Amino acid sequence: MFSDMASKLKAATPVSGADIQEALFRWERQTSPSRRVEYLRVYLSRVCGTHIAGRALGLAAKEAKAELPELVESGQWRKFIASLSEIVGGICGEPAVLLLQSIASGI
Amino acid sequence: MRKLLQSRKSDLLLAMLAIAALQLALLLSGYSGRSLPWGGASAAVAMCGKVLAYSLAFGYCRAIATEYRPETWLRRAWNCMSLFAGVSVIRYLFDTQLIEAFWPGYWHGQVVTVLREVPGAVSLFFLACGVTSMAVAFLKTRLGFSLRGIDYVSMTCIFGFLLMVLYLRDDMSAASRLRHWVPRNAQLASHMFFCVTAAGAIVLLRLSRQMQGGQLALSMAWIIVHIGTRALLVAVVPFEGNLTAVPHLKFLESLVYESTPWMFTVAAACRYHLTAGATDWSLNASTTAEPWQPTALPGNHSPQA
Repeated sequence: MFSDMASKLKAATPVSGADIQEALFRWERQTSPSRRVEYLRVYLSRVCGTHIAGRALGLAAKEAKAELPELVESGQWRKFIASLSEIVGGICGEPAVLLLQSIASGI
Repeated sequence: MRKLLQSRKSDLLLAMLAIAALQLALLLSGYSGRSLPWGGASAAVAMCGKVLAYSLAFGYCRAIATEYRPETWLRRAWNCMSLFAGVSVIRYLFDTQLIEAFWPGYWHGQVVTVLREVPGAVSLFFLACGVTSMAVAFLKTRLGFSLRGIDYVSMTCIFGFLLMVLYLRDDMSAASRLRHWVPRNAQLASHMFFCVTAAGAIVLLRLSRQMQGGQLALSMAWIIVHIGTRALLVAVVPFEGNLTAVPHLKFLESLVYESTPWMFTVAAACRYHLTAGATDWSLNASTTAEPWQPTALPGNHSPQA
């Protein structure tokens, strides 16, 4: 019964898989750096606590020559993430860095 | 083993409670010390519980250590922790009455003191190294971790008090009468290492409080509980005379003592699951996500570039 319903719904949906991919890709591009920094802050707070999250983001922003993590610009982004990865890798290990980079690149 | 390492923290706590409940049931049913000719069912449960807990902890710590780059303090710390767990397994295999079944007269010979004291001292040496390396790792970061005056005072008081209790307790005087210099010095060394570990736990406590939450702080909290419980069991020794009113005091003490390996296992599990789940998520994400490139977009969602 459910498979029938699923196939009917699928046939009735005018959106293809490629459309969904395109929409996701556009959404990724529209996510602003400040929002990504906010995601990173939430993630780091859960893993290492709010103190480490705040200090690590601040240090990485400083090394990327930005005033605040939320004010990191596109030219500084790569350096910002590299510095943040270095700090987080030293505390939480390399798998945590992989996740951090996934969040930074947009999921 | 890999499946066992996937056990959640709640599973491990349940295992710890199940073993404690089993021991309590053995005590209440009167089977403790009588059901097996070479020591008792209680000894078998206690030994299996401790060996299982430290074997799991060994696996967790080895896996955690490989997550760090070589030559880092936290890699050294988790390697030391894994050695602590590994040597503890050996220690508890030789510290049970069950050996009498395979090695008659074991508990009446001289070799028992060597096989009990030396692994004990070695395991505590690795625990002390692990705790110290972990503390150094966090204090060396530029993330604003620091110690306060009260921490130094607490460390000195704990070190002094525990050393005094350990030196004055009966076991120490028993060791000083031993003919072999190896177990005699091993016991003295293990007391010193435990005092260093207990003082190091104060540093971990300060660091975990400064972290302000997070899984990492939770893992450190379980390490502190493991060390703190063991220190409390040592500290209670001088007051045992005043606690005779407490029913089954020795049994309760042994129950708490046998739970301490599980506390360490839970600590390692907390830290292991911090990144084990992260790896799966990030691997899935990295295969699908494109590297982020800010582009000029119309409307209110324009990136700052």
